[in-house]
Amino acid sequence: MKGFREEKELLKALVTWAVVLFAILEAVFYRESIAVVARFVVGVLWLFVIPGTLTAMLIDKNNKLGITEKSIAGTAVAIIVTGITSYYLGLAGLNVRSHWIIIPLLIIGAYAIVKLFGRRR
Amino acid sequence: MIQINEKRILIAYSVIIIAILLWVGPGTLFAHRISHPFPVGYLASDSFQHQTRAESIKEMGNYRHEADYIVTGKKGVVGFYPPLLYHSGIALSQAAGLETYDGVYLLVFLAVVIAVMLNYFLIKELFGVKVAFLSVPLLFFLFHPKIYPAFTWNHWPALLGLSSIIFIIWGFAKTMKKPGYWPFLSIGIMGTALAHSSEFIFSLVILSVLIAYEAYKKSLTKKHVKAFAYAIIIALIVAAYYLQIFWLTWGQAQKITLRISFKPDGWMPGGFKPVYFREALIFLVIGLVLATWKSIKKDNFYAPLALTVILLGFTNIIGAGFRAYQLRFFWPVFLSASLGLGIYTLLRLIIKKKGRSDVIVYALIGLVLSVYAANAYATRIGPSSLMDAPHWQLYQWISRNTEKNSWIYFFYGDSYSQDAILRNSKRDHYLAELNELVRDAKSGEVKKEYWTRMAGDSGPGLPVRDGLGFRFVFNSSLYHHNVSLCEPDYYVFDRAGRFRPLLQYNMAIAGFLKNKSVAKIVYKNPSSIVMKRIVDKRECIRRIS
Repeated sequence: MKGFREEKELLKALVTWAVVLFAILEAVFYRESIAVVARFVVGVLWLFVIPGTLTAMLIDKNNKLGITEKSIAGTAVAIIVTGITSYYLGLAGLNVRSHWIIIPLLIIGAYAIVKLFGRRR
Repeated sequence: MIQINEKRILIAYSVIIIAILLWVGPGTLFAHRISHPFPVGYLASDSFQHQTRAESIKEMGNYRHEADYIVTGKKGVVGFYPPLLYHSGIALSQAAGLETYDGVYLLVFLAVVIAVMLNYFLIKELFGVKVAFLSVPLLFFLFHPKIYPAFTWNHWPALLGLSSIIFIIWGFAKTMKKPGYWPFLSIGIMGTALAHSSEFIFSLVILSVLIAYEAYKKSLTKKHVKAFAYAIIIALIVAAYYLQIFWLTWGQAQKITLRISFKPDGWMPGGFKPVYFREALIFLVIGLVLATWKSIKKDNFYAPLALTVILLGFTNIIGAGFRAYQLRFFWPVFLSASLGLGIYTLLRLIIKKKGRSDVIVYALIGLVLSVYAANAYATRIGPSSLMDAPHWQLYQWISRNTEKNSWIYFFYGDSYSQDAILRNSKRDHYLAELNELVRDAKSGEVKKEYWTRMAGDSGPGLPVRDGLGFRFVFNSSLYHHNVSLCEPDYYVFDRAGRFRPLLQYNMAIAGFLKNKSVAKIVYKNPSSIVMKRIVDKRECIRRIS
């Protein structure tokens, strides 16, 4: 498990993100039910934070950026990449309704392939 | 015992600031709810333009074409708006289990918050954490009465583009540190290209200035030049499909021509002016002078950046029109480092001690100033909307219960003049022109035909693919014309609202159609009724004659 230092760091950061985001949103949107806030947090993490941070981790090969900065920049990356990929997938004939599942999976898959391929090499 | 270190203070400070920003902005606007039974916080026609377009893309499954009910019933009109907002917004709404109208709006706020956080990291890198803390109060000008309409009146694509510019600047700083970070920069450029085209052009100007400054500093290496070239070329390749649509449609319809004018743009009169920063302006000027000195001394690129965004904000004078005002929406973000630097320099005269222990002092000062700015400069817009529950039910009913090819005629309603709201009917729709209707209401006479607006988005002239180019099918002469009372398939009459004479006239027309056995009521709620024409057009004309 020594080789998964970055991923462990990411996992820790994700848990922190989830808790912090939930706390902020629960305070700001205090009239909302807990379930809706929780679903929103999970949605943002799944769609933007996780794929974005993984992409940022691929770009930051030498792990020079802090995990917080990486996940914030990664979220910006994912907002843009999701929009563009969804636009082109839609034009290619794949209905937009499925993109919120497919695009993060594609990015997570790409990350796994690059990491595994990189490790073997 | 919890150790107080810089990182912990930074995190705690960020959490508090983000919470205050969200509370002042979307928290108040959305009635402290994430999910709403109808669009809330939508205060202008154009907000509905984006909401209905996102909804239509979700229904069509892609953005190859515009939905015909959006573009005055024309079929095959190519999707001509920058697509980023819609696609990311739809994905967010689905991932979060929200309606599209909530998801798209929340995406805009999310993008701005992320941009603000990246800007914070950038300031920390350029000037240190204390300046970053003290820069935050300026962010509350995002909710200034001259800027907040960027959210509530629709400038969402511009806000997304502006957020991407911040990401580009952050990406530029990183690429200068390590050329291998160019993909960040490239993704940022793609973001502006597909979010809002004027921000794309502004971003290229800003990037050119930053590169020129680094050349002046003699810090550009071959590796950097290669990295910038990769970033720009790859971004252009990825964005090429939409950019060609933009170039051949909007690029032809709204050509920017160089012209000198000091008159404010009529569409956005005055915009945000530097004097609106009030007392903060003093610190901004001090900060900017110091930053300029640092930049001349080849310390960092902030001054050229700040001066460029200030100048770009005034390009309305040379023909950029309201696009220049849109860039000013983000002056509170772009210029926040100046405020931080200005305040920090003055505080340094008082707080002599240097080091980590005083970080908390600067954080507290930043926090106090932020709370002051939130109270003094930010406008609080409560949970209002042009939409209300009965009208939302009305549109839902029409979209679910009328024939797909039917067309709907809207008489007077308080919100109908903001006509993009009518696209929620998801049917071709026409609107009785208000001025003429007022005249008709005064006479009280029910007419055989009404002066009518063909409500819909004409965009860059409704481009339809024609070989490698486009032909434009928008006919402006048809935009206003007389429509016979027997033309529509359905009629919508409001019976509740602000102007009683117009509502009474609505009821007079409805009564007339009923008495002549031309139409019958098929739907009603406390605010509106919908009537369906029950005889063919010829018979209808005979009966009302």
